Amino acid sequence: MKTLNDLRPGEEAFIQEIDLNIFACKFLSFGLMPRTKVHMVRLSPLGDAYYIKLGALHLAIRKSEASSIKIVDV
Amino acid sequence: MKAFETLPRIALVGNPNSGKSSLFNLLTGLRQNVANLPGVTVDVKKGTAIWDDKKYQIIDLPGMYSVFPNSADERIPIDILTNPNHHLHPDLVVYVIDSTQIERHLLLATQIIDMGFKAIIALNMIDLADDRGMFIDTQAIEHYLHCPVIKISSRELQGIDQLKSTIDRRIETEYSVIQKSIYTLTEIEKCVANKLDSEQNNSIYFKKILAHHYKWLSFIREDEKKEIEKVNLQCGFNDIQLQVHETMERYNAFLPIVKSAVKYKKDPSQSITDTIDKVITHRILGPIIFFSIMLLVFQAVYAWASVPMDLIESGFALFGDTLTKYLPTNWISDLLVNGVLAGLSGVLVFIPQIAILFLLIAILEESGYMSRVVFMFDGIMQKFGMNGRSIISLISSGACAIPAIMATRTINNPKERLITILASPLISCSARLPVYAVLVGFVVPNSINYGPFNAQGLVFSGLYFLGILGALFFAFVLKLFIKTEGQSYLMMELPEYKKPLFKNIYTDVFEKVKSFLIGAGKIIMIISMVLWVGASFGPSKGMENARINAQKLSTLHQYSVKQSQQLEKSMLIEASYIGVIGKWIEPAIKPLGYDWKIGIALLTSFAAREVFVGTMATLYSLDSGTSEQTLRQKMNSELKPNGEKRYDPATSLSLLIFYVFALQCMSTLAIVRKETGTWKWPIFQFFAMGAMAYFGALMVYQLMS
Repeated sequence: MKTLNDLRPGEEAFIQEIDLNIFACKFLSFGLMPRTKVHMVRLSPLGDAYYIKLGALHLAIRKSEASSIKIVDV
Repeated sequence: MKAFETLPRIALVGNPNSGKSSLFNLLTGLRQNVANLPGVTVDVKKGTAIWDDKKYQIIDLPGMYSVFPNSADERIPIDILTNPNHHLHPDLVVYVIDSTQIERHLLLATQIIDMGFKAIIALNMIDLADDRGMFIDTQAIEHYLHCPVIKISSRELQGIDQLKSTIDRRIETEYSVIQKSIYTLTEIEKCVANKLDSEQNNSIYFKKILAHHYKWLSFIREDEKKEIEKVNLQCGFNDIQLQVHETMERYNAFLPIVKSAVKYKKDPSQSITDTIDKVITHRILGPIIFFSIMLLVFQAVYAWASVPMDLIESGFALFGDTLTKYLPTNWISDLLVNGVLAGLSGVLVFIPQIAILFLLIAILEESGYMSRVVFMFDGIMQKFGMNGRSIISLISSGACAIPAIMATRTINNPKERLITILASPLISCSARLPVYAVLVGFVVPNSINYGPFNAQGLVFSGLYFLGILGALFFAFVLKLFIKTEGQSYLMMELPEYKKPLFKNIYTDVFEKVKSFLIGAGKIIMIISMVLWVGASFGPSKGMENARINAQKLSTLHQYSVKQSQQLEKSMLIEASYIGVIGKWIEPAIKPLGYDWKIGIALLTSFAAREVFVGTMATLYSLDSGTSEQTLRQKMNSELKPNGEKRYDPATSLSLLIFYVFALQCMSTLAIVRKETGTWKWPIFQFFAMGAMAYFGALMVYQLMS
């Protein structure tokens, strides 16, 4: 299954599922939850983190964290 | 007047970036300080609010996203909110929401209400919501949450009077802990809650929170922990799964309410922030802009601060000279001038640097830029066990480690913060510059050039580079050895850009200066007194002999009054306790190429590195106002017993290497003690950096001689 890591800058997808780990609640409290649309804006200078958008909210997330967010195409 | 502790307590609770601090500053003004919580590194501020004839204690709890924390400082507010006997436990919660992000911020609001707190919801930044064509039906939200909802703007001073009068009314109303909660507990959660006996009349949801967090809540006794563990097991309580379930259920319940209560007149997803970030966080432009800003910050702390710093130092020197002139010559006047005044000057001289750095950092932080810095540099700093924010501290360390270490307070991961604190002082600061300047000439003569590069310039850059390398190496080693508390994560909000509020910046700078003066100032004063005693007193026989010998020599060589005074000073410091210790450690520093005179200078420059120059001047019987040039001539003509030059390239480079690495700065020790809350880390840092200095210098000297 595709994860947030598979999105390229400028692409969008819906979140399908969040892995059940200690950060699951953290993701949810930022609004990263199933059926939400997520927009990949850009990579960090060294490519180790993502700048993403959920509606009007701007978020920074590490590559390793993004791998626990499963997505489906829009 | 009622004592502060007995006033009704109001806690400001909310997500980070909800504008809590602005509201706190607005309600308390400068009647605020940092609450005393042992072992807690994050600032919890408390203050007094006065309006009409009312007086309240206001507590600004650290921001959090939900009652399920992921880091040590997110646990602090939970620990306070769940412990009814905590000295900061509130009677009333004002829950602050960023109105433009109401959907997410309501999550924690519903949890706080379910915990049984008497609450008021403050829809903050309502001006921004208005600007974006957003309309919020407060009645619908009020009806859902069963508590007052007030639109405010702490920046534009809207709705503040209404908030105050609602607080007055709400604090008076009787409130019984509701047993019904917004969130409907599952059978497992009910099972746990029903079995947990609690003396306090707590809500059912409150008990569930205890079942989640009992392991680290500070007020729960060991036997109670065992009891909760047993109950959890009996009911089949799955911590993470139930956290996720609860969060999802809450969203499912209130998102439809929000949808009907909030109307948008225009598409909220595009804002000026997107346009700015296209440039500011650009993969190539972003770092270029950051380093340009840092160059400015560095310039400010390095150069602009030197003007008020010189004023402070020369002011104290002038005052000291005047005192010396009018006071009788005895040890009390000497203590006053060279002990107390020198110590005071040594403390106050840091204020310009601290104030300027925090002024700039507060502007960067308030505007929202700092989060972008973390986003851009998180990856690279992570490799060294640090955080994107650490880069600010490392760069400011090039001016001075004191404000740089204080700036680590915004790093929320304790391990990353500690590593930043420990590694920063290895970056060459401005106080090392005078030492480098005096010694570099003995390593290579000024006349040599390699192509366009001057040899001395190369040695200078080499020393700075070595400091940076040392800091990164030290950080990397520490990363392997310091144990982690909880997993590290980046996951954070990049808030909308905002114009910084002067009041917030001013309060922050004021707070930082105050905490330096109170926290580190007294330690610096004490150490400088000890150093004064060490340099002014000695074994009485030795001191007496030094005086007699100085007089004999002066008569013999027919010295002027000034010359004989300088000679006496030099011979007295040799006979003092510090002189005795300097001679005593000579065998240990001989392999580095040093004699006892250098030993004495190493000891006295513990006050601050630049004292090295002054001590050298005294030891070579020069006036303390001597130029570097004359001191260097004097040092250049100093010979070893075997007739070679004392300051040959090997000894001088060895000494330079020593100063690159050694923690020769009592103020750094004092601030590290303050910021880490224990003497363990400054002592470790002192010896670790000392070992790097010793072995580095040893290697250089042995290889070169």
